[in-house]
Amino acid sequence: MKKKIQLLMVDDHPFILQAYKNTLERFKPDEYDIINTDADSAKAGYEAIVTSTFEFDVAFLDISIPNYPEKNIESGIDLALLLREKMPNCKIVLLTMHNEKLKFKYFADTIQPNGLVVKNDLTFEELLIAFGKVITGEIYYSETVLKMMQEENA
Amino acid sequence: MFLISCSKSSEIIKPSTPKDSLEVLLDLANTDSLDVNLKLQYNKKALKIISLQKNDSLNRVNYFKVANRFYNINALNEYKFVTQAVIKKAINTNDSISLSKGYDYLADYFSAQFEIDSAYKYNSKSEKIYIRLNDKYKLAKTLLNKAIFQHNANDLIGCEKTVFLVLQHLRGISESEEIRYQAYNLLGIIYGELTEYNLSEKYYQEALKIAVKVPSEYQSTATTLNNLGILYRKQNNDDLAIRVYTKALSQKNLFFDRPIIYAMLKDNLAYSNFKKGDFSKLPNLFFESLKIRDSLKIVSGIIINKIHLGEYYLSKKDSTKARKYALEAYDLAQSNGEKTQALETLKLLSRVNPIKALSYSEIYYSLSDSLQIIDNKARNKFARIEFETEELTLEKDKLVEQRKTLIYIGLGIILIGVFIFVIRFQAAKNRELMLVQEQQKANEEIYQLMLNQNNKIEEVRQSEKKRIAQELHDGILGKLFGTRMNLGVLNSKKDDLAISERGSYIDELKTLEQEIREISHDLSSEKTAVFNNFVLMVTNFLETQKKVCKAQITFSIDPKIEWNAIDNMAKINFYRILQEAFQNINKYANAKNVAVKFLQTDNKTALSIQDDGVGFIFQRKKKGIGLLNMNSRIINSGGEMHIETEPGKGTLLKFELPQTPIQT
Repeated sequence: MKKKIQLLMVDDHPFILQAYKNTLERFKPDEYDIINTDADSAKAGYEAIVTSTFEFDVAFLDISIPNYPEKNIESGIDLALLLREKMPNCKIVLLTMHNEKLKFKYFADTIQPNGLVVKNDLTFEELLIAFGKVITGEIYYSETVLKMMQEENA
Repeated sequence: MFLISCSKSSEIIKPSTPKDSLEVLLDLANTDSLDVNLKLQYNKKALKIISLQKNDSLNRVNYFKVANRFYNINALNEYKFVTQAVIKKAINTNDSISLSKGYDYLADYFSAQFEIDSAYKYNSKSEKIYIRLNDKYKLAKTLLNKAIFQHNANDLIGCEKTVFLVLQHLRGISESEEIRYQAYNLLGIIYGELTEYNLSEKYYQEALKIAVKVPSEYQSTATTLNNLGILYRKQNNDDLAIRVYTKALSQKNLFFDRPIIYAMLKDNLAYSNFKKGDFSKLPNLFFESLKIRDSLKIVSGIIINKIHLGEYYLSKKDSTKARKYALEAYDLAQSNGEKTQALETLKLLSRVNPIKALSYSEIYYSLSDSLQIIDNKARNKFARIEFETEELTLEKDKLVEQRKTLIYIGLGIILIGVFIFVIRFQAAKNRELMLVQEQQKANEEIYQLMLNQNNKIEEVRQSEKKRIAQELHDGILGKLFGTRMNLGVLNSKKDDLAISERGSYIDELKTLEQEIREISHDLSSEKTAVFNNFVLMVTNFLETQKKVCKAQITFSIDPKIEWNAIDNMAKINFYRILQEAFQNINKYANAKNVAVKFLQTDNKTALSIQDDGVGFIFQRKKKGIGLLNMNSRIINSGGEMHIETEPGKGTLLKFELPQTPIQT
């Protein structure tokens, strides 16, 4: 029996959600059955999390998303914090267009995400690698992030 | 005839204090009730005391006091001695006032001694000092003495001159009635002697007017009335003469105050009665007078009295008595050097003794020749003329004074006018200054407004930048990322579906191109109209006006206007003009529509503000502060203002600015 993976993807670009979906369809289809849940805004993501009857296994959260001021959710970070509270076992991958090291450090410190990805680093192949690492409990930092971290440590 | 007598009892007697023996002695020496010899003793004691004192001004005053007391008790030698002593002291201390007073006293001494030449000399000395001291009152007094001397010397013309000099000096000096009286009295005498009877009477009348103001003990009224009687006698008007003599004799205390006058009046009254042919009181009246004169040793009076008696007895055909009195009179006149009177007696003698008439006549003519006969006709009228001209000049002076007053008033008015002008000028200047300050303040406000506007624009610009960045970042980059990812996925597929899907992503790339073009356009359009500071300011201003102003506001800007070419000051002025115009519109215009237009015509940029309100009469309001402000602002920027308005027809304000405005 194939292993079921509940995946939450939050990004305001339908293109990107489509790309993630298309890509992950190719991830070990024999072994895993990936079930997608989409959200194109903070609000949709929030509702997806709080109304979900199951726990997500993996969450792809874009940091820059239309905010949801009613629930004080400004970005993917807030959604990540919510997830950490509601579904502590969920593996969180943060994706961002930004590449400032201070932000990475902040993300890493506050959320301690399972994956931190600069979208510019991401390719079809790389996403598959990242996904594979995250579901097995490894930490995945994309190339730029790693470089930044190294500079930070050095 | 009688003139004056000197009296030196004019000082105030102070109550004696036992401590001050000098003062006590002086008081005693001046006490009427005391015996003359006693007074003399006291006065000599007083003199001893003061002669030991220091030569100071008080000392000299005391010397004069002592001199006065000697004079009053007729101790003339002592008087002369004291006077000479004080003159020395005055010379030693350069005390001109005491010196002149001393000379006066000495002149009085010589006058009393009938040493006319010496008296005249000292009088002249003091006269010179008074001229130097410019003491008009004392000078007048001295001159009066001089006139009397001149009169006594029969220098009628000189005397007349001097008297008028006296009157000139007295002009404007109050409390000089006594001298004035004597001057007029003397004039009466002189003109009487010059047979100018009318003038003589006129001056006697003047003298009588003043006489009442002179202390009564001088008996001035009686004196002048006596003189007036003699005048009437000369004119053969004995009735009038008798009337004035009688009036004179009825003066209070006359016999006590002036026995000489009293005797003279009696004699004159008797003579007029005699001339008139009324012998009822004669010759007793003559003898009454003669008795007094004899006792007083009034030589000239005795002579006249005897002449009168001679005449009386001649008329009574008593030639013995007549001859007796005539001869007595002649002898007295001869022995006393009374030449004029001697002539009179000779006339009488030739009448009472017709046999000797020829020899008397001869004596008469030789005597007459020896006398200086005054030519009546050639008398010097100059002094009188001078006096009268002086009166005219005075009136002229008065006129001049009035004119001066007018001139002063005129000058005053002019001065006040100048003051008012200066004040108003200053006020106007201040107002102008305040106006400039206000304008500056307004300018600053507008600068501030422009600055704020700039900040606002900067904010807008920043947020716009942020928006564009966001759009690029999140939108376009996201889309590009999505497209790339999808194309990456499709790379692994080689079926037809994949090919058609790729096609849709290529279309997606085209859309992205378009989006990028739009963002780029947004960036470049920043410079233009939307972001133009001034236009934005005006728009904002009109937006706020729309809330306040009752009128409908329409606003248009000619797109041809190149705002960047117009300097900031001009823009500020336009803005301020707009503010001012709307203030007027809101306050007064009561308009329904207001049209604000920025126009570009030929080489001019123009602002026109037109309303359909009440309008106004331009001539009446053209000095209004609002219009002045607007005008000065547009002129400052090198432009001009045009106004078209009429009551009820709205207002059109047009401000034209040439294309090359003055840089400020």
